Amino acid sequence: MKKNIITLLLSVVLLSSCSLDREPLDGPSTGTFPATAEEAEAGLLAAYKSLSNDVHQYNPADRWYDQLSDIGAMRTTMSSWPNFGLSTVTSELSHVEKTYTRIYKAIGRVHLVLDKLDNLRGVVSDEQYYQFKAELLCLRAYQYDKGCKIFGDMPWIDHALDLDDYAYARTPKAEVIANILNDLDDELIDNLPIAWDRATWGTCRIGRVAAYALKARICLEWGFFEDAAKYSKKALDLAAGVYDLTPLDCTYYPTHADGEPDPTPLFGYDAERNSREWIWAIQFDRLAASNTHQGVYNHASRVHNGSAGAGPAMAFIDTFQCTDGLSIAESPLYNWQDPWKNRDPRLDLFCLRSGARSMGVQFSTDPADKTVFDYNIGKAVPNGDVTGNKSEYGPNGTKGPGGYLWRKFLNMEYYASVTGNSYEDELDLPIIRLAEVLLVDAEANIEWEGGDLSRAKANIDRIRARVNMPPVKATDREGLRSALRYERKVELCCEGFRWFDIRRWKDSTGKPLVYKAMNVQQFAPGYGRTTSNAKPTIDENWIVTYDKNNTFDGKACNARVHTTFKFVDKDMLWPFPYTEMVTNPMIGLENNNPGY
Amino acid sequence: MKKLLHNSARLLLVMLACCFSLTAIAQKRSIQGTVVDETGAPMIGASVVVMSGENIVGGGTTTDISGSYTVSVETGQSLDISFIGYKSARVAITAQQTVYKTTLVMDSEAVEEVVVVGYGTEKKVNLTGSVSSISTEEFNSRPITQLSTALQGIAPGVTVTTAGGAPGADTGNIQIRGIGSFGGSDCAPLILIDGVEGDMNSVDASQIDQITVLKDAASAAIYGSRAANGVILITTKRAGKDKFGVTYRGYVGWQEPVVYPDVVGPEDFMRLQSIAEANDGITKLTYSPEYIENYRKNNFLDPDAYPIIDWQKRLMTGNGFTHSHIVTMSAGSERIRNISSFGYLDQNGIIKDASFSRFNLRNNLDVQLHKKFKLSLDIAGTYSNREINPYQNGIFQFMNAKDPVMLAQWSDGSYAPFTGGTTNPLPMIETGVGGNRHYQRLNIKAAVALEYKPVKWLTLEVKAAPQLSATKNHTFKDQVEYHSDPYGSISPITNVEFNSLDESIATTFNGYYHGMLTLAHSFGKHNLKLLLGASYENTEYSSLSAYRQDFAYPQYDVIDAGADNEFKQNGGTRTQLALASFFGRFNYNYDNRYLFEANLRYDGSSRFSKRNRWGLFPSFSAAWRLSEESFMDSTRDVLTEAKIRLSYGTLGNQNIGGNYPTAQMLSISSIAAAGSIYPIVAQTSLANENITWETTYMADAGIDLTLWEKFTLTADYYYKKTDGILMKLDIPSTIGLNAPYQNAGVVTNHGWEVALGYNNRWGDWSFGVQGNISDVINEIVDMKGTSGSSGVIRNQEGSSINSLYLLKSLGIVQTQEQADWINENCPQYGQVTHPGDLVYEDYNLDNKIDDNDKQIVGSLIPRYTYGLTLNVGWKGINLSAQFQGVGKANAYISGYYTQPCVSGGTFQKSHIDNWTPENTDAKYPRLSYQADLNKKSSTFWMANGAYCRLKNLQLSYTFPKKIVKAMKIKGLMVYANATNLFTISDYYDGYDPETAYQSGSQGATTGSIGNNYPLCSTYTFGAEIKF
Repeated sequence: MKKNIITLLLSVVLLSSCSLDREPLDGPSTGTFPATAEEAEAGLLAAYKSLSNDVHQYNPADRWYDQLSDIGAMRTTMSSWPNFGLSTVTSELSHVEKTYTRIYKAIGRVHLVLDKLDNLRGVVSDEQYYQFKAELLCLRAYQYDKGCKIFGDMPWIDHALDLDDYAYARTPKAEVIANILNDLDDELIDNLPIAWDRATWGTCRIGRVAAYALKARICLEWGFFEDAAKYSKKALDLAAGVYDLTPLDCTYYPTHADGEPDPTPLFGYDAERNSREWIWAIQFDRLAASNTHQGVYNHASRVHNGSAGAGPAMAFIDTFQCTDGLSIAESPLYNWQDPWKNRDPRLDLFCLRSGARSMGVQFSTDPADKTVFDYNIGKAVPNGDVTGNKSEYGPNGTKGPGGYLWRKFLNMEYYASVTGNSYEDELDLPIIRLAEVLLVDAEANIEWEGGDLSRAKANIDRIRARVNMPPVKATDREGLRSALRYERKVELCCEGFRWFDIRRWKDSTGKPLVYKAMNVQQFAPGYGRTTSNAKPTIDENWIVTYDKNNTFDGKACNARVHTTFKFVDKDMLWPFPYTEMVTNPMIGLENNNPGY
Repeated sequence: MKKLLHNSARLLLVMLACCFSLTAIAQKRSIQGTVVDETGAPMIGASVVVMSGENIVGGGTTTDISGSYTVSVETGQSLDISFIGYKSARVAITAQQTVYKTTLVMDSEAVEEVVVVGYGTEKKVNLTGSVSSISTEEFNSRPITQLSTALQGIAPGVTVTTAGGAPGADTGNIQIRGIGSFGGSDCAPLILIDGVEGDMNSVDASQIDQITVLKDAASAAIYGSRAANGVILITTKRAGKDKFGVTYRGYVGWQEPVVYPDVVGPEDFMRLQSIAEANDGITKLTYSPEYIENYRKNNFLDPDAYPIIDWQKRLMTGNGFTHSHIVTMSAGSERIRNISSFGYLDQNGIIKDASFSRFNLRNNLDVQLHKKFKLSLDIAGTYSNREINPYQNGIFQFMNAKDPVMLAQWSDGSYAPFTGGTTNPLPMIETGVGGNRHYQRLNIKAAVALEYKPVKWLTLEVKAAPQLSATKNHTFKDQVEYHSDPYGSISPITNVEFNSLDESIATTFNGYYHGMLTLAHSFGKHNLKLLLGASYENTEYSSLSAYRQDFAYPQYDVIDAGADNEFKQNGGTRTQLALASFFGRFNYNYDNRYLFEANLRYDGSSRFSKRNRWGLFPSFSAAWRLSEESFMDSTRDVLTEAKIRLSYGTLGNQNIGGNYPTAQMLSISSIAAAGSIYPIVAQTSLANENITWETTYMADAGIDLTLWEKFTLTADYYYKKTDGILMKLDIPSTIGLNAPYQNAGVVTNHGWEVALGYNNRWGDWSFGVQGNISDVINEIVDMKGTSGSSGVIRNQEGSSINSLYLLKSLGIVQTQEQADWINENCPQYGQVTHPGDLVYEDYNLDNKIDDNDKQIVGSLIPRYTYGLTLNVGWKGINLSAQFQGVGKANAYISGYYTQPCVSGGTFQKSHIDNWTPENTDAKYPRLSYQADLNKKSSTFWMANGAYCRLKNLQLSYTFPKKIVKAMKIKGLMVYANATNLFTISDYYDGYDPETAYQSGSQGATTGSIGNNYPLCSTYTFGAEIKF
């Protein structure tokens, strides 16, 4: 009996001493990562992936910032985004927290590889080692540059942190910028291929042209004009023969019956594959895990089951010059009752206005149009943009973005993919395209005392020529500066530059343009109207403002006020995120940005 | 000799009381006898044992169907006649008498009830911890489809809430003694079915013998690291000896919603909208008085231009038919005892495409292999299928909140599109289009246990219990065609651009193994018991999912029938978990008067890193049975039983969501470049290697009293503190990784529980009442300075979990002077306040009202939960009523479910009483679409969640034995039952207060309550037939 008991007890003890070690089955853990070139590349690509993980209000975040500037209009109740135009952003706002967090998440992914990259010396070729290092440092520089522009001084983190190592104070932004420019060392960058193989990597990875363009952009933004001119020249020289501007068809289609303009060779799926203008882009593809955005949902009209959430502001529509190169306030070609004629073709290429056609369907915000014509199926369909409580004219006017939508990133392919439930948008977003490098180069030469003004003019004219716009008349610094500011505003719209540009650019008194641009009433065509009689005032910096008493026909202004913007000193930067201030002992609430 | 019998309601210790010596040696002869009950009805199956003095002689028998027996005896011997629930009788055999008639009397005296406790049983009188034991009779014939709802209102300290009444999803959410955690960890109690962790809802109520709720640390600590939220032990029925029987139990019935909102008709809708528009300064009203006046007439002439729809009538077209059948067969001999049951349940919804069906099989076998070895082998299987309308919540959204003049269907029968921007659900209900969704679940478990009892005082047991469960979710969304005009000149549109199928399968294997030994011995008045054991458990979970779209033939909703294109997706995961434990219990009592118990559990979990892996969970309890003292002899007539209990112990919680919280994980994903996919590797979350158990310390003091043998009282007070609650504390974003869990938070729960019972019978009459009430006060003591979201539900230090965070409404502004004062001195949200608007408290005293004036104003946690059960019987007729309720709770539902003038919604009839200069004493503020001031989250829209509900009413009739005998069966009982018959509450009109608290493992939500499937009243007729 005793034996039996002992056997039993022993078996019980054995049973319980089974191992309790359970390793995760879904993937590896840190440790020696990266141990091979493949692992390093997978880690590097994860840092690239951070770019597409950053999505704001359905859009790739990098293009969303335009929506918060004077060229964007959005529904007056759209998450908390309208706060950014009303000077009511707080440190607690989740968009603020997310933006900050995502910057450091991207930087963290860089460090996961970078910290142990030296272990690969000898395992991989020197060429590959320096390529990895250059790409990682470019990505880090891109993130820090963005962070400093939005938040000001950012803690300089140059290695992976953990729960025992996280207390870092805000580093003066000048120091951060000096650090990243130092990282983007010419000798290191020169290890990169001029452009990555199109068939293999497309626009996913940073090549030598992209690296110099990025470096030029950073120099320009932070006022190092001579360096900016130097590096943009380097980028453009390297780009010669490799990259080129993509031609655009500039046919004018007065109404939806006549057809629709096609921006897709430069901004559609076609461009991802074939445009030689794209240098570096954020990659989206539904075949990769969680790698889509829903920008089309935000941009497309209700008729396409989009949410028509954000679009260009009327002030932006009125920015577009007439084909004679003059503003609509000055040009004899402008007829306020037929405002779409004789305009810079980019108005219709980049923006969607009532009466035009979009993705094969008539777009109308006129309440009289109860149905619109769908040219894809040859039948009329209900006009969701003016009926139902989600239309432009829904309760409180909170549903429409102010009369206009973006066309720049709409593709015919969406016609089939936008549905009631799935708005998967896999269109890539260019971060650097040749036109922007040309404009960086132009601006650097305009702003640098020793700059080459004729080179600047040639760059601007090259971009205008693509869309059949006449060369700029001015040849002096001031005139070219004005031309440059028009060109950036129009050419780069909805790509995320405007918010930063109006903070960087100063008026003749040295005041950032944003003070004027964002201290106005934002107008929109009146309810039930598709145009207005409001006569804009357009200054030399192409800031468009309205006065209710100033109309083309002298009658009462029939436009409505969509939003009343407010801007004060503190709004030059976003507030510092609350969580970071309270959890990081080296920061604290007392170190918020001034005014918050 | 003591013989322990164990049955559903009463557990009797049958003791042989009389003794006398042999006086003569006589010849064996055969005698005849009958056994009857107090009513004179024959008792079938009574046990007749031949005794010589105190020794069993053998040759016993049981009574037949007429209650008679024949047995061979000698004069001077005696017969011990017993039947469960009756006092046993001793019949002396005399030389003269050959025919004996015995009447057994019901045993109404304090029965020696035996309660299932952790890894064993204990006499109820000897319990030292706080334990609620519920016998199957308390819910046996109620139409319980989900066992988790059975405990509602029955056990003090056990709060059961239900989120909705959808067939298959009408499960209860159980909290024992408050909520112990608010972070990432689960607050559900540990559910053990015959000692093995399992899903309570996989067991049919009629298969259950007993449910025990272990509430305090003393009773639960033997389950250590999983017991912090309480433990529920479910014991299934086992077969008795010398018994054979077949029982059929079944019911049929139907359901209807308890309440649904009383929405306005078309005229009132248009009238109220006009009032709102007038208040908003709109001069051109959408509906002019003449238009409203002529609306019905015009509707008759042209229903397309003047539509009227009663959403509730059109959508609520399910029959709600429900029926359940279960057949149980038990057979027992000296060596083999077996009970098998097979059940089927089918439940239809109040809307179409909502149903639940379940098959249930259980077989419990006991074999006495040898006089020292006993083997038991249990097999159970459950298969259920839940059908859900893919648009279910949309359907209830329309029923509860959509307006009656919406165009839903054209006069030619085709359906109108996207009314008001939402998918029109009418065709889904009326023509069955739109696809389907179902959840299937299969659970198979087996348990084999070998018991070895070498000597009387020692028992050894080993057990192995593997179980496998698989779930399959299937969602097929098909296109629904809508027409924009009745004549088809405009092409039809569809709600989704393509149809799609999403399927996933998850399987869980769980292996449970234990070995234990029990020693029990008595030395004089010292009674000792020792339990030692060890167990090991491992779980492996894996899942697989697939997606395709564009089904050319939508009737074939299988993955292969979808388009094999770039939109197809798949996924899969696999995780493991293991838990090893050593446990022990020591009981000592002196003379059954002074009781002491100690428990110890030592748990190791694979969730934690090596240095934090093992945790020790001790508990101690003691009790004093005051009534057993000799100085209490004189009061024993009154004070039948009195016991004072004290306990203290430590419990743990390791249910923290992820299985690998300490591993610095790299996740593999992919990136696209030039149309190709490349792998990426990234670290997304920081791991915390120091993470360990949440620890709960609990003290309990209780008293058990029985007065005049009929009246029982149990009362407890407890204090519970949970330490080291796992929270994802914010970390500096510069770390660049998601925050890990940290042991940081502290929560306390303290409260009291009282249960009262009274049972008596007078002749043919019987009467019983059981009542219980309990309270819990919950407080978050430490959140490391953080606070939950700024939404309506908030966790904040110093307040209870799931507190409501709202503006405090001070009422409706009555005059222009008041409004002017407010606009000047304390503007509200920068908007102009008008007479008829709500005015809020300036909580932070900054002379303006904004979101910073929100404060904690209540809590969703129900307090003073109570239950009351009444039983009245006369002969075979029995009427029982169960009341249940909550004494104090707050609730919050907003949006168009309760508020007027919310875009896309309708009005409720109560909204007619809105503020106007003529009607200043109104219930609701002035109607306005533009002023959102009145729709802010405030106490004005908060409701009182207290209620009292007649949960169940049942009338049954047990046929007398004579009639039953004539029918050649053993027993027949028929009953009629109704649940949720009436409710007293001051809740939102049209919504059910019971669903007010939708609790999940991660806290609570209010937003989704408004369009939940409502709770239902069920009316059933049933029968129980014994063969």
